[in-house]
Amino acid sequence: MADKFVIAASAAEAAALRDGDSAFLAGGTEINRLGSSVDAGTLISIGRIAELDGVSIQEDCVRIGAMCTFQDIVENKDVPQFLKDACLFMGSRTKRNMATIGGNVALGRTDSYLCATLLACHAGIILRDAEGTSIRRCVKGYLEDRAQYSDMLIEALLIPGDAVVVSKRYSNTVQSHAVLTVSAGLSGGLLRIAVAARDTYLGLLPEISTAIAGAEKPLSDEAILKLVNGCPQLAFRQDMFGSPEYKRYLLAVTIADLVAKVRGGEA
Amino acid sequence: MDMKICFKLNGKDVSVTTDPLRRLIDVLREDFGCKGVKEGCSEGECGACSIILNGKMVTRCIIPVGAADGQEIMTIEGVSATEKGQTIVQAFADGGAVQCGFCIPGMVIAAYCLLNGNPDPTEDEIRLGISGNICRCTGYDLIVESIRLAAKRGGDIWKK
Ligand SMILES: Cc1cc2nc3c(=O)[nH]c(=O)nc-3n(C[C@H](O)[C@H](O)[C@H](O)COP(=O)(O)OP(=O)(O)OC[C@H]3O[C@@H](n4cnc5c(N)ncnc54)[C@H](O)[C@@H]3O)c2cc1C
Ligand code: FES
Ligand code: FES
Repeated sequence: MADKFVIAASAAEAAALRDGDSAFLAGGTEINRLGSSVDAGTLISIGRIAELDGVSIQEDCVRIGAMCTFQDIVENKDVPQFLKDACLFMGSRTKRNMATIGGNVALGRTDSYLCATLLACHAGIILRDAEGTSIRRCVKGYLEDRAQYSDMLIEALLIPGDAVVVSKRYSNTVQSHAVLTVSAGLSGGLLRIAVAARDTYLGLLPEISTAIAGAEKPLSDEAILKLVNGCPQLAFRQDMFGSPEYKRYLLAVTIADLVAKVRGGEA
Repeated sequence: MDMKICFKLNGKDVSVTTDPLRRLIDVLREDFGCKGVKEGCSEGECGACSIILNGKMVTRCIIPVGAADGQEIMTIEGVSATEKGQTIVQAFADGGAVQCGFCIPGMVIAAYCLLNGNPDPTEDEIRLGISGNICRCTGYDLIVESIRLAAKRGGDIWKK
């Protein structure tokens, strides 16, 4: 439970204030809720930092400030539709008015609304460390090595200008946690398949992407299921959302469907 | 440590010296007597505690009061004192939208935000507009119809 509250005036100040016992207060939808997963002694409010706001078109990408809310993104004309679609996975308009893209990536949950889409489009991320240095990474690198970056401030996400992505989220109701969110994306000529599988795995599936991209003909559902079964990171568990076999099947047929769509220009 | 926090509440400049980590819902209810808004889930899911912060609907159970410094807040008390708010409240009463009433302040706030941006919403747009507000009694249909009634009765006031 936090007992200290500070308001940072700049990205450099916020990054310098962060230590092991603090957290950035962005939209607060996770930090402040009852039963939050975030336990911090100090909350550093980052709501008034101009560098973290706004959407801008850059040479080869769209830059989205970390404090942009899901609803800001939905309403912005420069954001690609596939990212708007991912933001709409958060069913509550009220929560979309508060939750930020930076907070979502920082949490890196296995039922994340946005991470599969960001991985599939090969999004970049701008971080600020405690010394004030600005660092550019890809979201993949950030999520794979969260321990290294967890104290840094996310300043912005960079969406490649050539990216197309199709995503699908499975949950019991729009308000429920997702059991699977799957994305297939094309950027820089490469096919990327990413999955957020609740309590199991968040990341790209490079073995499957390479096999599908290298095949002469579209792979059958059965062939993709075989690839899914061969992924050690997809160690699904039996839970209220279904059996491991069912989740692997759902993932396989969804990958087949999304790859066909993204290749067929339906993105 | 206590902090002086200043904000605009229902059109008036106010300030409070308190622990900035107190939840905004507690400060508004306990220090400013705004009891019209309810606490349901305490985790940002049900919308019972909705307020308008800088023109956008948010849930105040998950905002620490420190984050409200310098902001503009409107609660159900402020909304229902306006002509637009009264139009919605009356339409909810006439349209049979209310059963236990617990979700209704949040629903009125949602309807107010929706109609201000979209004076003539379709049924789908109304359902999307109240997507952050959960009602455990009504099944939503009469709430949706009442918002439609408020849109119709209000006419041009929603364009102001
Ligand atoms: C009822 C409920 C259900 C939810 N369900 C889901 C779900 O299904 N999927 C999902 O992904 N999320 C879910 N969330 C969590 C949350 O709403 C979203 O992930 C949201 O995008 C978090 O953003 P925020 O701005 O509110 O983060 P905050 O709550 O403000 O912060 C969350 C964490 O992110 C860090 N952080 C925030 N901004 C930055 C930044 N710029 N740089 C570095 N670190 C930062 C903070 O230090 C903190 O640890 C749920 C929340 C609630 C209340
Ligand atoms: S009490 Fe705030 S959203 Fe439920
Ligand atoms: S009228 Fe009872 S919760 Fe909506």
